[in-house]
Order: sequence, then structure tokens, then C-alpha cells
Amino acid sequence: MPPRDTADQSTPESFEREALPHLDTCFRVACRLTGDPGRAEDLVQETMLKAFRAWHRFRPGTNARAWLLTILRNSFINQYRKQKREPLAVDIDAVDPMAIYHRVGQTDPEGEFFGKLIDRRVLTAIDGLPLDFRAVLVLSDIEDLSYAEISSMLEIPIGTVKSRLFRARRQLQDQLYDHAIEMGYISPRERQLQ
Amino acid sequence: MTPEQVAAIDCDEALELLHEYLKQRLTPELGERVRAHIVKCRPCLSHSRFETNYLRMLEDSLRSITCPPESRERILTAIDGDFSIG
Repeated sequence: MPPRDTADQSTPESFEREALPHLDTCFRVACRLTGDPGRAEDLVQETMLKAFRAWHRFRPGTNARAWLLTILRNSFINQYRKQKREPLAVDIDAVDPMAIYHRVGQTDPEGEFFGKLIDRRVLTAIDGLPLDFRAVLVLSDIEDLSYAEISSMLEIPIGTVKSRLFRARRQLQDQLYDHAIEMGYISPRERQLQ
Repeated sequence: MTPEQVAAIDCDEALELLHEYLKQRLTPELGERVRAHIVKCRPCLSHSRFETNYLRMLEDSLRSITCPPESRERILTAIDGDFSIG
């Protein structure tokens, strides 16, 4: 049997079938990376156009979602370098990785407060994380990509993926915990008893 | 040493593997070792519920976000235009 016809694979139909189902995933990731739905739409459009033009290079049977997200990430980084909106690097040692769990103590040890937060507040907190943190957090905890996929996509070692993710979660949880106290979901009195 | 002792993991290991366990990404054997530790260790069980609530919050808040129809339409039109030009 001859190899699969590449002409067949580069049709709009196969792109529509394999790539377009991941449009929502791309949009969600783009929203969190850019922090703005308008910029996210531009980024997804650029990603989809690049993907469509390179579609003959996509290997059938491999992970189209990871392939698209890699293109999206590269497009974003390119825009970012041009605009220099904020530094990419972050001093990850500045965040105490165990902070949240020590702080929660007996107040809400099982994190019931997470269920009381409104979506908008959660999004704001994620968008406030440093870029390196929110990229791994969104890809892992929201889009369920594996460490290996994230490592390959962001071109960082798996150990770095894990350490950034660990700190990103702690920083996010810490902020949301503060918010839960401010909003009265957790009693300040209980907090003082720790 | 019994097989159970050989397979036992401590709190540090359980917490390191916790998220992968909750996302069901571990091998069945390793997942079972984490589970066996968590069910017997009250602080780790509590921590596990904390992280479960955290992941559920993200799922509830964010997974429902979809590309708005008008954005989708513009993106598809751009691809169509690209195809007819190419």
C-alpha cells in the first residue's frame, strides 16, 4: 500500500475534521495567555492560518491538539517579543511553595472555599500570574496536557514544568484564599485561631 | 518484608504524585500505591480533597469557555480565503 496521499491530507476537509475541533481549546489558552478576548481571537486566527498552511506537515495519527497549541505558543511568543509587554522570566524562588497549605490550617483544610468563588474572580487571578506560570497552569490543569507534552511545547525540561506548575498552583491558590477571606467565605476569626 | 511494605510510599512521595494521581495519569500500580497511602493518612487525605476542589473549580470556571460564534466565523472565513488564494 502506498504512503498516504499528502494531497488528500492537505484538503480543507481533513483540516476541518482534525484541527477545527480544537478551536475552543486554542481560544481558551489564547485568552489566558493574552488576557484579552480580542487579542485571543487574533492569536487563534493566526494559529489556524499557520496550521492550515503547514497542514501537509502534520502527521496523521499524532496529537493535533498539541501540534496546534505549539503553533499558538510560538505565535504568541513572537508577538510578545515584539511588544515586550512584560518579562517572560520570573524569579520562581520568590514564591514559597508550601505557603497555602500552611495558611489554610484548620480554617478550611479541604478547600471548600474553591467551590464558592465566582468564575470572573478565578480568571482574574489566573491572568495575574506571571506568564511562565500561567502557561504551564493553563496547559496542565485546565487543558489536561501531560508534563511531556508541555515540556515539548514550551521547550523546557520536564523538571521545570513540574516546578513551575507547583509554584503556579500555590500562587493561584494563595490569591484565591485571600479573596475568600475578603469576601467572607472564610471567617477571619477562624483564620486567627491557627 | 511483605509486598505491601515494599510498595509503601511516604507523604512526600504521595504529595509529589498527587496531581497526576487525581488526573488518573499514573500507571495502575503506582496509582494504587498513592491511593493506599492517602486512605490511611489523614493529612494527605485532606490535602487530596483540597487539590480535588481546586481542580474542580478550574474545570467549572474555565472548561465552559468556548470560542464565540462570531470569532469562529471570522476565523473560518480567513481560512477559506487563504485556501482559495493558495
